[in-house]
Amino acid sequence: MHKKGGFIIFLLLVGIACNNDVTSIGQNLIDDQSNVEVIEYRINNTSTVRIDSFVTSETTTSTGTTTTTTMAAGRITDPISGTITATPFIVFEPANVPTIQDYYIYDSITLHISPAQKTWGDSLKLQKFYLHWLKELPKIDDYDYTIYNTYITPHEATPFDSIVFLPTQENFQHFYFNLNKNLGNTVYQMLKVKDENITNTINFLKWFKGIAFIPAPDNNCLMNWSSTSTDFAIQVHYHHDSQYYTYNINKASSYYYFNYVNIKHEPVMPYLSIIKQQDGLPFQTAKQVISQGLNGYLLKIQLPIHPAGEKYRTIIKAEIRLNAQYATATNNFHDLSTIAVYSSDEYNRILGSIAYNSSYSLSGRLVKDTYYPENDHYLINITDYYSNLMNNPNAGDINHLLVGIQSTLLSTSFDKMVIDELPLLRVYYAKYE
Amino acid sequence: MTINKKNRTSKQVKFVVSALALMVACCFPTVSFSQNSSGTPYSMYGLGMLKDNYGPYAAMGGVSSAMRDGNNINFLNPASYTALDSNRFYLQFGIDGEYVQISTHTENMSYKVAQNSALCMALRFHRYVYGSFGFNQRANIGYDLYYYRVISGTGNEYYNQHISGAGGINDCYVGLATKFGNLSIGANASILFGNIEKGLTLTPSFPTSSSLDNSYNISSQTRTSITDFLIDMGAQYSFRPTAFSNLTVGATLNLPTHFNAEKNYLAYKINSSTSVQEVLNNETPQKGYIAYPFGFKTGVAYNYKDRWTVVGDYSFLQMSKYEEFKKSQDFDDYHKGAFGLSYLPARNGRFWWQHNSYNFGLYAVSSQLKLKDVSINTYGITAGVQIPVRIAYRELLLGIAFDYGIRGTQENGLIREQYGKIRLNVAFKETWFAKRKIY
Repeated sequence: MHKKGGFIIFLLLVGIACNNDVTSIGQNLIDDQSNVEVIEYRINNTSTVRIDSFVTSETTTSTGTTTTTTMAAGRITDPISGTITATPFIVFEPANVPTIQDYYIYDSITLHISPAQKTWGDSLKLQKFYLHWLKELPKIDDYDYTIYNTYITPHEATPFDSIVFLPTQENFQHFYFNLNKNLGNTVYQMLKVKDENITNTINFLKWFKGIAFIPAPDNNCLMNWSSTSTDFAIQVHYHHDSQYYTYNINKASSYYYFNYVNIKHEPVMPYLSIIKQQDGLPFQTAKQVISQGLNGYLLKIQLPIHPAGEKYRTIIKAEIRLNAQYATATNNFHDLSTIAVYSSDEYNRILGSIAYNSSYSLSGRLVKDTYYPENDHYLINITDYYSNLMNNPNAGDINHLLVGIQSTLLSTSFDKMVIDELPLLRVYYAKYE
Repeated sequence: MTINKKNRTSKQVKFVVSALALMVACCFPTVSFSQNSSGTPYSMYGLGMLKDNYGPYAAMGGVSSAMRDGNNINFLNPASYTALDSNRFYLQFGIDGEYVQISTHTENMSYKVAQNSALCMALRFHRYVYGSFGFNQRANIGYDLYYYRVISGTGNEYYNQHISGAGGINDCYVGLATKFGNLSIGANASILFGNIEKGLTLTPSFPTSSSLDNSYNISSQTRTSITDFLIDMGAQYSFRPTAFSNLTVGATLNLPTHFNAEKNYLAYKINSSTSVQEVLNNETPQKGYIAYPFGFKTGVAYNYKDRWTVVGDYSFLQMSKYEEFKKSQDFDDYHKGAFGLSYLPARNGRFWWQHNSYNFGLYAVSSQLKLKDVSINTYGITAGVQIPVRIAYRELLLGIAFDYGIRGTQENGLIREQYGKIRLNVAFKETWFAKRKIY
């Protein structure tokens, strides 16, 4: 009886045992020293480099879809980077030639384009493009069927027509321009008799060749035109009684690789000094670095080497901070919202994207401060990349990065990023023992 | 008679088996799972919290050096075993329950703990040799802290840190004692064993507005396993200065000892976005030792007319020499002073309350901890009663002790603990070796 009583008492006490909640009391017993510190390094080896040639012709993915949906067209002067002239070179491809009766009457020939939604520069002034016949089909690279931005296909010196329009957002739906009547009659007759130069695509390409859309020298607006075939066509209009017909000769889709944009860049100081891709304009000289599409400017960064060093100390975060120049009222060019990061070498070549994980590549984003726009900055999280770099014995040879506009936008976008402070590398170290 | 003797032996065997099973049951949670039986943040240093007040005389401030009587197994001084009844088998266990309120100058909270504190047995092995064996706890660790710190180099970025510890050092002992006239000497040989597990989790608190913002959290665990022997030696000298009084002087000591220890350390980092883990350190077990320092206790007990007992005790442990894997922990020496008073109205009195001994005590501890230039001291007051219960073939002594104390201070941002403990001590005296008389 007494033994049982004692055992019960024991069980009761054990039953109310050990109610130890997590507590924050006692943190003052811990050394005040912080186990996590951030060390900031100014990236002194920062410069602007220029990718002097890049592909501007249409390419396709492995499934056959075209990678570019817009093309640059126009002329614009940026007070920082200079003047850009973007000239589309377009070839056309007939398909499904209709049967036109003798009693059908020719009406007109028009150019149908659908400029995309983005413009840079002054969209409130009329923009003019001269249409020039190409003397030959554009020459493509036999290996990968590409054409670069610097190539100019020979064309007639005298334009055969011109188009003028106001590139406002409201007007950017579909434009129809009347073209030369003689051209229209010629094409109409060929359609009526089903001339082999129009029923056979290859023959048509050899006969028609293509059109260069050269912006007028006093243009001051750069546009993105839709490069979807159905949004870019030469249309032949005819009718019989009250029935109206239109035949579209669309921008080439089977021979998409002939379509490209020539980009001519006229830099201003201090960027005049960048002659070759290997040249770089140091931040210390220009007091700024820029990245912009169409002219090929990218930031070249050489990361400082600061290994984590001692035992029980590791990098838990690393990021690059780029302070963006505050966009003033006179600077109406768009800020880049995301920036790409590429590995590079001493020759400033784009070697490839840097994988962030299995789904994403390393990139940066614009962090905007609603109340203090002067605090806008770009952040690039390079935690894993920098940790792996510091563990590499050859870190000094492979710490080159190119940062800026994505390579896929290099040929279509004039968005830019201007950095007027040396980039900052912030590395968070943690001591854990 | 033969049948009665067989029945009696059978009951004794059952009793011993039950006692051993109870001992295993009491040991199991503490040993196997390193259950933290303490919640005080002060236990994060060294081997954890040393036992300030325990043993069968917890109601008298935890005095032990000069205590010897025939009712309690005073395992804290092995020389006291010679005071036990030569014809009895003793079984004693204690259970502690504790309620602690922790406070700083800005916040407070509480925790409760209960644990088996000791289980021991004693008997006379030989005409002149007494012995005891049992199990108790030397030290325990139990803490769980969660706090944040500013990231150095920033003014507005923080990281969270979670540290925890559990485990302790258990003591399984065997002791022997003998007597030479008024002098008794004895020694306990203890196997000390236990695991101390400490964990740390470091979580930066970075604002993430994008799934591409990744950083790493750090997690580490240290497990130290200790197994070794320790010898505690004791002596007591008891004499009667007058016809009505008895004076006992006692002392115990242990020599500096190196406890074999093995430390395992594992650290890894965890990606905050993908939760993928990467091992930072998975070190091969480090073998070394814990340098347990020299310690001694001494005390005096004066008993008058078998009613009043006044006791004074002093304990010292040279914790300034304490080392872990050859690294000093910068501890101060441990000192404890205790005073105990006991009153027994009448051992053979007519009323039941006259048989009880009413106990009172005070103790003060200057611990090994000195934090932010402030010594962490403990002051306690105790009271209790020991109630003898006579039942068939055995006696039972039920001891209840209350302990109220204050540990630490709120000075310099430290913490103060107010605790209330209750201890139940149950001691059985079995009449196994008593010879039957035939009238």
